[in-house]
Amino acid sequence: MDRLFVIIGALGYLLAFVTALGALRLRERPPRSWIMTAIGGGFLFQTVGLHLRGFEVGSCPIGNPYEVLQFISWSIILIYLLAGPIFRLSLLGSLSASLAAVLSVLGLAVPAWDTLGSRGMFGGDPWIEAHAAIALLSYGVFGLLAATSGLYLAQNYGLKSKRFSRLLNLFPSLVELESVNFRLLVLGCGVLSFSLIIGSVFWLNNWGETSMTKLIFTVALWGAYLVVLLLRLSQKLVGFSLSVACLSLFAAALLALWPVEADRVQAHPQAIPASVSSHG
Amino acid sequence: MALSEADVQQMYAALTAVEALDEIVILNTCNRVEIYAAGHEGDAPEQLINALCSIRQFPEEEFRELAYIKIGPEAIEHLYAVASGLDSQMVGETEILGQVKDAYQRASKAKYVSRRLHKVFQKSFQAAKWARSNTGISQGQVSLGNVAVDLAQRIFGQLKSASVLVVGSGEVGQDVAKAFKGRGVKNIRVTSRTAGRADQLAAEIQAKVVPYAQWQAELPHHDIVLCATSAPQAIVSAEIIRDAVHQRPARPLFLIDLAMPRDIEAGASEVGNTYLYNLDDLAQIANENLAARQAEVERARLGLRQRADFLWQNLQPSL
Repeated sequence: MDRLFVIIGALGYLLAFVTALGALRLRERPPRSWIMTAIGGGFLFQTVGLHLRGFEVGSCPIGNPYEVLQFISWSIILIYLLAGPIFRLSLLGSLSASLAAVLSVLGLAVPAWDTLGSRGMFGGDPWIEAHAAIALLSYGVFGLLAATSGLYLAQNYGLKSKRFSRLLNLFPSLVELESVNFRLLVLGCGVLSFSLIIGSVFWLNNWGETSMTKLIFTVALWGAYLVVLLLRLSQKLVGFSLSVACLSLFAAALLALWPVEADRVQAHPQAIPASVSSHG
Repeated sequence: MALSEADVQQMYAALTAVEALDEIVILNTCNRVEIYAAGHEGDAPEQLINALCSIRQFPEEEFRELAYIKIGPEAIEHLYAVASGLDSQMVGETEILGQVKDAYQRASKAKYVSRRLHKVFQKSFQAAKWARSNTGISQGQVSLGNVAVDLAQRIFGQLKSASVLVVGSGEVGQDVAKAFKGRGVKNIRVTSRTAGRADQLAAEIQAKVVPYAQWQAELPHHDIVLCATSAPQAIVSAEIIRDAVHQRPARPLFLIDLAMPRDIEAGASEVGNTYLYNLDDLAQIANENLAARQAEVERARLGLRQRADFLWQNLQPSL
């Protein structure tokens, strides 16, 4: 049942994505009211779906790749709905919906990723559960940052190569994108740092129980984003280089989910497909 | 051939005296004089031509060779095309619509217009709006100044807080500087080897003057640098640009080189966060946009023809 809600949510994001794509193909600005309605509807259904799944597993639904991708997709839209108006960036809604649709559909496309290994995964410890949820929320922020970085690179390429297309005219300006990238970087680093502080409470109290693979990847990712932020603050990494760094780091962050997941599966070999469990 | 205000009034006075004519609008712009009229007799066009030739003492045969005479739906279609900017030198320009509106309002106020021309002109404004909204005749900038402003907006977004440094006072440079002023740029500085010309341009666009000896030191404090000098060789090296960018690493630099020979070394485009466009680049973009507009003209004409035919049918009972 929860998957049905998630599917409807993904369809909402897809509708926003397709509407934006259609408008951009016609070299027009995507219709804001349509995009907002589709995103808002999709978000409601996805929230219900994740809530039902969380109720079923008895914790925040971030225990398998399907749930993780859905949670990141949900986080991206949450960030957009909460902080989007502050950024005042045209196409941010379309961009968020596109990214959320891709992640949500990707999660739904591989049934094998939806295992119920997450049941009791956090051992009822709210600290570690909050740590994991907030860490994934930062992935949402970094995902959005990667998308705006992609826009920056496209706009920069168009200007450097002297291509004057009406499509690029609809994109936000370099200065606006640079400013949003900086703010998203600060927000992402803040959220991830907060998550690590909460995680460290569990780590200190349960020495030896934390997976070293996960710990190394997480701290490395946090350190890398922090270095990028420091370089940006000292204006040593700006514009094109900043966008390349943010895009590369998010790709690395997504890839890092796999070794972390493999490590988790090794630690919880009893994982069962969600569909089998719910009917069995 | 443009008419003076007195000529226009004289023409109105002469044409309203023509028995067969009921309504008249004279459209008089810098490169166009058109008379739109509605009459009640079959030879009204002939009477109009006779009257025009006698006012200006113009040989009728020569007039017929030089003038274009359109009657019925063709005349309505022509007005639609004029109002839409399809008949302008710069296809899709919007200034002409204002001129058509102005001509109509003046004629209307003087009571030279009645029911038929009221309807025809009102519909022409709607037709112009339709053509601009539903075809690409107005899309893409076709003047160098507006192309440069569009590029600047892709780099900086809102231009109100952007600062522009104009080096030199060449004619093209002045046009582009005026385009920036027209699009809301408040902080413009001008410098020129000839101080008087810098003062003149600065006064025209409410800019400040920077002494020529100091402009290189000023360069890092500006977002857009517009060079249009007649110097025999480049006056801005890649090294100068690199130093300027170093002083403002987080802010892009837009360089516009309108000079021939070039004022800015080509190597400046390799500097990070710098965007260099020369006269040829801007002209190429303007030409591409113009070609794209031309491709849309036929589509617009077809739509306007259908609308003109429809209106002509509607007007028939009242003719």
